[in-house]
Amino acid sequence: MSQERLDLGLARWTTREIIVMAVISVALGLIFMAYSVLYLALVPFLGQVGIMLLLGFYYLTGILVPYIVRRPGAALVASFLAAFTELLAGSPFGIAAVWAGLVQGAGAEVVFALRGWRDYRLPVLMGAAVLSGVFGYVYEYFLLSYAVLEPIVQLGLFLVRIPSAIVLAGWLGKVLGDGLARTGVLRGLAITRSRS
Amino acid sequence: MKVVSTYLYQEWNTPLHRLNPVAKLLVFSCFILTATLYLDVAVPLTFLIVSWLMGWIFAHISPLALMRRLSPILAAALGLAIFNTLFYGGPREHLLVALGPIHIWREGLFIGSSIGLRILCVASYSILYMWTTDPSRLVASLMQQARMPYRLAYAVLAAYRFLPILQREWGHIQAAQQVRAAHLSRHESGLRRIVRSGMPLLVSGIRQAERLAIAMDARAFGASPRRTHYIRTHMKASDYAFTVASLAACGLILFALSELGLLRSFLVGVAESLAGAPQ
Repeated sequence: MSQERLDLGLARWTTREIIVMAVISVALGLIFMAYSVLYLALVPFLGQVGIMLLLGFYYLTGILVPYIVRRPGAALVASFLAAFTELLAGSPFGIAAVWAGLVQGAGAEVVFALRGWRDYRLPVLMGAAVLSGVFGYVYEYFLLSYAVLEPIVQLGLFLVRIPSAIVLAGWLGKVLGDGLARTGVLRGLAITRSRS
Repeated sequence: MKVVSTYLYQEWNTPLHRLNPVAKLLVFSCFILTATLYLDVAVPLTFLIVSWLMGWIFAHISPLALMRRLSPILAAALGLAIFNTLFYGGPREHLLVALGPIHIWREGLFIGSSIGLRILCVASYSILYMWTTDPSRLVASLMQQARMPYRLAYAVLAAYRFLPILQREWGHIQAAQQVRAAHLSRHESGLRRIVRSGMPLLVSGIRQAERLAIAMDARAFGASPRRTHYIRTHMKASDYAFTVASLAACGLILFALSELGLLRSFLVGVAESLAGAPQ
């Protein structure tokens, strides 16, 4: 019945893929909470625009998990799960984070979808990270009313996060994924199958 | 470092605890959205007070407890308020302070305060939600009311079970690296440190995930498109009543504020700032 239809293609995932995705997302959710302490502490030094240099890290889940399991929907679901973890783990921005996770995950998902969920080379990962940032900007534009700021500041909030997304999500996602693959724990998942 | 706070779900039996978790998420998200759509100080302030009253009346949580939990976010909210005041780009008439390049306009100060309060508002509802919502019931309700695919919902449940395990693991990793004096290495940025501890955390989590997946497969998880539930959640008449009453109250608050002339819509603000920006 309806439950089957709404399975988002998850029926084709193996149980291991689902649980691995969940664990990576939860672990990253925890890491994000530790990171947020650092992030908020640095705001007075870097300023609200400068801190965007560190924002890209939050897009990592939507890159790393699809890079490992390579399934349609992985970016969206993993990004949501990491944000959901933050809600469950007691982040004061929990409810806003859940919606942000969905929006940013959707951004990355669009790029993977455009490549038919088959292409996970570095430029694609970086592109997915950038679109995560673009979607995230639109969400924040409403949540934080960026419209009332000076145009140059609005532009800064948008532009500064782009290199950050490329490095801290796109590049780091690849490095972490390859590193994890080297340890052998990802044996049998798509990431290790592709590099014969 | 202890990331997950001890002040999470408190198992009490109050109306707000009994409320259907998805209905509560919708109502709270609606309140947050409303507070976001207006650029007045009055709107986020009212909804902040509403969250305290709601916790007090429906969940027996003293407003003081909620305020105390909000205090760490005060700095972030203040920072955001200052930022928005200084870089305000909308229409301006009343200059309050002019110190060299720094100009503070009354309009900017007003909107900056509104956005700072908005963040407190988001935090207040998020905290109230966590305090009053049993995560297992939340996931059950996501499956049964929001029609989330159950394979995904079980991933969420598994993830939730992993929280304390990974938390402990994180502590072990930190301790192990301290024994080897990794924390003493000088040339290390905060980010490197997070990667250094994060990598072992991911590896050990993935190992445990594999064992859990085998155990679930052995019990034929996912073999049937439908499944039965141990925890059953429902949308009862009281849940509908609460949802409708909350949304009505939300509308009523906005109506009252607009009668008092305290309401200025986000869209008006955007239009004004777009019109006033190119100077």
